[in-house]
Amino acid sequence: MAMASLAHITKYSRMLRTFLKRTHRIMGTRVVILLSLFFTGFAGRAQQCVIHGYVKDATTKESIIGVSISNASFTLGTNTNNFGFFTITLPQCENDTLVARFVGYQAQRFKIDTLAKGPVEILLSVDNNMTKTVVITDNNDPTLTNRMSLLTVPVDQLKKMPSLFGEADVMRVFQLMAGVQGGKEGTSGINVRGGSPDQNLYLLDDVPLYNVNHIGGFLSTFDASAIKNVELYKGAFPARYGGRLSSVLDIRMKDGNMKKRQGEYAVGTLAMKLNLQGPIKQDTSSYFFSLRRCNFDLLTRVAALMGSQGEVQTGYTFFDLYGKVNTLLNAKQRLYLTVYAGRDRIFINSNNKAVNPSEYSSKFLSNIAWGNQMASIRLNHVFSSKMFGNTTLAFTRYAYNNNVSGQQAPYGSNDYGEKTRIQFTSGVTDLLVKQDFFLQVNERHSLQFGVNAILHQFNQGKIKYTGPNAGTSIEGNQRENNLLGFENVAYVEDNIKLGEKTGFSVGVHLSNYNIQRKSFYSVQPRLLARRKLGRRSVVKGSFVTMKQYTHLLSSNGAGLPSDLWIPATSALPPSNCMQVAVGLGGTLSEDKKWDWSAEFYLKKYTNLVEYQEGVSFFSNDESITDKVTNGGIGRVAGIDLQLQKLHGRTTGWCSYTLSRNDRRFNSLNNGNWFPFRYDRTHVATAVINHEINENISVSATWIYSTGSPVTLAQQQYGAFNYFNYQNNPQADEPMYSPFPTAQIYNGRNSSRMPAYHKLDLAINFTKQLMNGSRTWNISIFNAYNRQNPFYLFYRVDRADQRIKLYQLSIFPIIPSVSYTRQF
Amino acid sequence: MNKITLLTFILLSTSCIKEVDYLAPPFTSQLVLSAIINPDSLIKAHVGKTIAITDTSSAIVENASVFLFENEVPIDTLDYQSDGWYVSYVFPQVGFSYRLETRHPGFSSVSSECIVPPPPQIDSLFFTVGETLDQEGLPITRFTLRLNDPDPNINYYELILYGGNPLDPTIQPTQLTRITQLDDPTLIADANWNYAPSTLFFSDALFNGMTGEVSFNLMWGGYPSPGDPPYYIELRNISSSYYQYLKSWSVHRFNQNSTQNTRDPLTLLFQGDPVELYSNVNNGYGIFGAYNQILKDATYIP
Repeated sequence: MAMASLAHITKYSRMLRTFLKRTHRIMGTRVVILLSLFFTGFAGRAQQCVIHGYVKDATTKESIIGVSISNASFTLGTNTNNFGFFTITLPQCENDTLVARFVGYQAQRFKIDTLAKGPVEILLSVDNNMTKTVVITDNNDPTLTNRMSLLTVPVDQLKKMPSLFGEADVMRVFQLMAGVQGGKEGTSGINVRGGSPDQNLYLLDDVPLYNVNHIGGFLSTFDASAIKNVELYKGAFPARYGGRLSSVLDIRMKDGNMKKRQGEYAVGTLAMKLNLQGPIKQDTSSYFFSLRRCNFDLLTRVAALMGSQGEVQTGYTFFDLYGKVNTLLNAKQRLYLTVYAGRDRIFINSNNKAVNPSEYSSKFLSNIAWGNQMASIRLNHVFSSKMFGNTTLAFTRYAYNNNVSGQQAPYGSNDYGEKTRIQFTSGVTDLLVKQDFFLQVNERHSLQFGVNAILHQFNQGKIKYTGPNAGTSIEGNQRENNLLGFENVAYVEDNIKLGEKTGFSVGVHLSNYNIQRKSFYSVQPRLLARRKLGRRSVVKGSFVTMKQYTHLLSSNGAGLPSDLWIPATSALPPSNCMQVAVGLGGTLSEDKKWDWSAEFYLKKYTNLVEYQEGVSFFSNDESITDKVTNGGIGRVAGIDLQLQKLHGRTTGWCSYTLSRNDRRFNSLNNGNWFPFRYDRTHVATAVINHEINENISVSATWIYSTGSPVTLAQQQYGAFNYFNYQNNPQADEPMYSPFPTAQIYNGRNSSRMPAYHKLDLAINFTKQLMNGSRTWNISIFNAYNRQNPFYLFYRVDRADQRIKLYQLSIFPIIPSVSYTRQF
Repeated sequence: MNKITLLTFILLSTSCIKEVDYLAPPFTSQLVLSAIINPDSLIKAHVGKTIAITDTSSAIVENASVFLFENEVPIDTLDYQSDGWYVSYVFPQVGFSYRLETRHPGFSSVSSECIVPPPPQIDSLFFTVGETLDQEGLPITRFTLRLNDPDPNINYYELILYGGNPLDPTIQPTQLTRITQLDDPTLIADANWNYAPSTLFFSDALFNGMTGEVSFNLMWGGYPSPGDPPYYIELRNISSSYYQYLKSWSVHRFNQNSTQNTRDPLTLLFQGDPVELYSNVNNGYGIFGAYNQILKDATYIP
């Protein structure tokens, strides 16, 4: 067999020499060498050693994502995928060692020839001697991986960081990283490299979620207790991702402890939670369950009842429920069932009794609810030592429901008659099926490819009236409700490693979207190149294009539940983005204590959608297309700098981003460029975590950001109101004045709010108990009580009757405490 | 109301309002020229100026020179009256083009022009009561106006409803905005009705060159009692720039980032982005528009 392979290589090399002679003058020497190496990679089929299997936590048997698997010299390697699976092809099995490494775990080394044939199971133990770190870049050696513009956070560490109302939030941690900003003051939404919140793809176990905000955006729906792994791509998106323009947040839920039952409950200022996990059948199947519930309504109900003599209840609450079951069907197949349900609710419930015959008794109920539901079935299949597949069937929905009803009864009567009710609904529902494959072709090429099909249903707003005289009527433009869209995707990406120093990722994402008899097509290249510089540094470059088939109509990005998802149509075509990035990175020393990166990026947007000038998001009577204008273009340029300390008692990072972010629409701002609402010229962050001892840790975060752009009046004049003039030319009140004030703005977003900055602190007291541990977390949000502006407005000061500029701030200094018990 | 509850609930518990030290950028003050003319009234123009947003001093300009041109022929220099008003002794004529030019030593000169449109033509005006009910089961008073639009060019109209004859000095007419609702989505969009304008204005987009029909309702139904004055409408044919100004003003006023229109700063969260107010004054701000009107009483159809 070896001789046959040698003859094959000889013949191929002869053909290659001929090819080189004919082409080198045209294409240049370097390109030809590149092609030579490429084909040699495919052609070389000497004796290979293929090892495949899973990496799991030794204690829980939970699969670990992103573990580095490499040979002893670290020249060839791979990572475990989202299911903990890996396959690696090495030149030979003899005289080599397989190394498995992951932050926070002890590295494992195996003589390859001692490993069993067939899938291996590598168990990694937690490294108790190593101080746990909050690592925010790729867990693996960045000089060896074909990944770029990627951020990740070990979830168990983020629980120890300062938080709002004591509730850890993975999105808030990302806001502290280069290239990622928060929205308005206090909100947990993220704007990545100048993009808007709707341009982020949120995936929970491969299934997209549409609205990930609680409480108007001050907390995300992602409960840290339920999450195993989270990665955020700011750019260089792999071909398997698509549908959004600016980022991909890939979140993996915990699978459940395969070995023993365990749980955790927590009570905090904002919420209480419980999670339970354990084996259904040891080492074969497990479950995970998590429930988080907000406490606000428990206080407000009581307060409202007391204040209204029992007539009124009001409040706000939310919950997040995560559930997962996974089971090994046989040696090659594993099945996962995942569900998520979350809901926010604001309610007012009043029951007023008439106290005299001239009054009516009344019952009034106002209920606003919104949230996501998601369910998925996923089947892993190991086809061979080189090929892994995953099939996903899923359902995801976001719905908003506003329900108001009322009844009346005469004095002294309990007959309230029929209810009058008004109900408004909107939302989006997806049914999807995905098939993904991973194929390790040889030691230099690994392919990922697959297909998706998604059926979208959009409800863009429907009003229903019912009542004793009105009967039942439904309003809302029926053509704009229940819109169906069908999306197909195919992708392929090849991860190529040419020697120790050079790598490429070459891929393409193909998509087709059909709606209202209109089809949109897209070919999106995804390219990345990597070159190691010396021993500890690397330079990388990427080029990607993205297309987005949905638009989010939002009230100034406040993350309100009534934000509306609308599909791309012929009237509102899909939006596009092209991003180019070049980056340098590496470690400062051999011990890899310090990690640094610098990335420069350029983005160009086309076909953006924005509200028409002056249109209010809350004007429900207008059709969608009347509210918005499209055809906008955008440009973003920036540089992200980051320095991170990975090991030791004190860890943390600091980051700085310098950027510029503009938009232009023909019908806005007289067709001139204007700063986008998420433009922040300077953003700097610093995060420090310090382990005082085994039981006490402290953490501090500080952020500074240039103020957000705002359209602020510069001048004023009296604008003639002829109707008022005719009715009363001498009227003084602004509403009836013949010359009410008109304002002059000098351009959209031409002013800036004051700079935003704040300091958050946290301290954790942990104690190991007989059957688990407990942790007290004390956090102080906005420790020096900075009054960061939420928005600006003018108002007449009643004292001196002068017009002054004011700001509204939301969050002063907020201490909070939470208690967590693990068992 | 529920949306205000949503945000009020979230924000009021911890929100804080404080003054911001703000230094407005330097600017050059400009003249503001305002005049709405019609054949039944002498031409009057108001001259003001732009001032800093935090300035509370008078914005009136008292010693400007205001020149009137008719079909580009200078015909008058307006006399200063009081409170920034300058008056001419000319009645404008239908179909004629008028230009106002204003000069003042401290400002750049401004000018603007418009053409006086012909009077509108009402075919019929009637109203019914109780043919439909509102969401609370109360009878709706519904008006139907039929107007002729023979001109193939785009025309613009303004409508004001009165409960009584506006020319009768003994009664107080009821204004349109407090009592009327629209249910035609095209008319709602055209009239910027969601921004609560003072009057109902619209274009002839749906009936250009023919007879059109415009319907509107009273929110509180019921025919006036015997002795109450009948309904009247004043229908105006308005110039294009005046229509643009009315449409722009309703949006501009609604989205100003000040609390002069509402005392509650939280309601500002529900606004769109601020927009500049339309102006047809060259080198300055303001509006020079024209209209021609007809007054008609409405017939009750039982």
